[in-house]
Amino acid sequence: MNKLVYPAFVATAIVSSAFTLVNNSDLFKVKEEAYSVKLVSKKFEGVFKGLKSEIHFNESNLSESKITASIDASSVNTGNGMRNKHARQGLDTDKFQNVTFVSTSIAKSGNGYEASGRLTIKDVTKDIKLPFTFTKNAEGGVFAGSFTVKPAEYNVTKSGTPETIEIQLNIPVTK
Amino acid sequence: MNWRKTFILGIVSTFLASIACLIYAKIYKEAFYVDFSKVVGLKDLIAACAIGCFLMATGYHFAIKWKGERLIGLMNVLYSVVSFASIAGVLGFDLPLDVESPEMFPGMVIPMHFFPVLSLLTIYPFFSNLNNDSNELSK
Repeated sequence: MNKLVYPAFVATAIVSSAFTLVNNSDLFKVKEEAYSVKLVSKKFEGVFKGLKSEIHFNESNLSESKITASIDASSVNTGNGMRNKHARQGLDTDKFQNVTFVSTSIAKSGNGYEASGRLTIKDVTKDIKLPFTFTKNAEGGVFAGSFTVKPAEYNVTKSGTPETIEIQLNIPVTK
Repeated sequence: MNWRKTFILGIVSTFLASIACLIYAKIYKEAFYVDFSKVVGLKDLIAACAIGCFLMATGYHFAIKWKGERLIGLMNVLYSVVSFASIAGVLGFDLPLDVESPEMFPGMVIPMHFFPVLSLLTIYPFFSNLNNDSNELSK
């Protein structure tokens, strides 16, 4: 009997931890055709495509909520072909294809939430805070938020790069 | 060159430049699978050709009135230089963010910037008084 106690305990622990780490009832899927990841600077505006994300979000259980997202850096479109090429060179997209964000914690903040996490652009990873709101609707909801990035801090130093860029997110999701 | 001739020169050169633009736009679209009709539609092409051609024809009119046809050569150089300089506007132009492949846009529009001047220079000899004079001399 004693021989069975430890394996049973380990099995229970593994199964329960799996539920703790990934609770699929909190998983949202991004509506591919409707999301926008926009970059805004004083000089120009642009958009990114190719968002891949895993969003576990539960308003009443923020400690188990987690956001992991990456975007295809080479998809940058500023509406001008020469500037796009310039931006891709600045981001060195041949070498670093994705810009990624992984949240470490999500907390309530004012009327919305704030995700603390690590943003990786090129080969530089920095801690950032991403304030966002979540608006529920019949299909699921909409995540909206924005944060500011200083490209120079991420070794994006090609001439003509704006000093600061605001990233605006609007992510409709479904369950 | 009287106003009537100037007007006809403007109309005919607009027509030819517009036809050239439309054919080129269609070929470009089918060859490279890009569609910029949302940015440069049929009306925009014709209007741009009309503005260019009528301005150039009016320029000819005043130049001839002022110094005769001696100035035409200089006007042609001016028109070519202005057409060339207008490329800068295309390279700096920002397309709406939902238009894909903006890097293909200059390839379509830059040649079109030369169609009005090409069309005008091609048909101007038919409206030139020098042409009529040489015909009379040969008689």
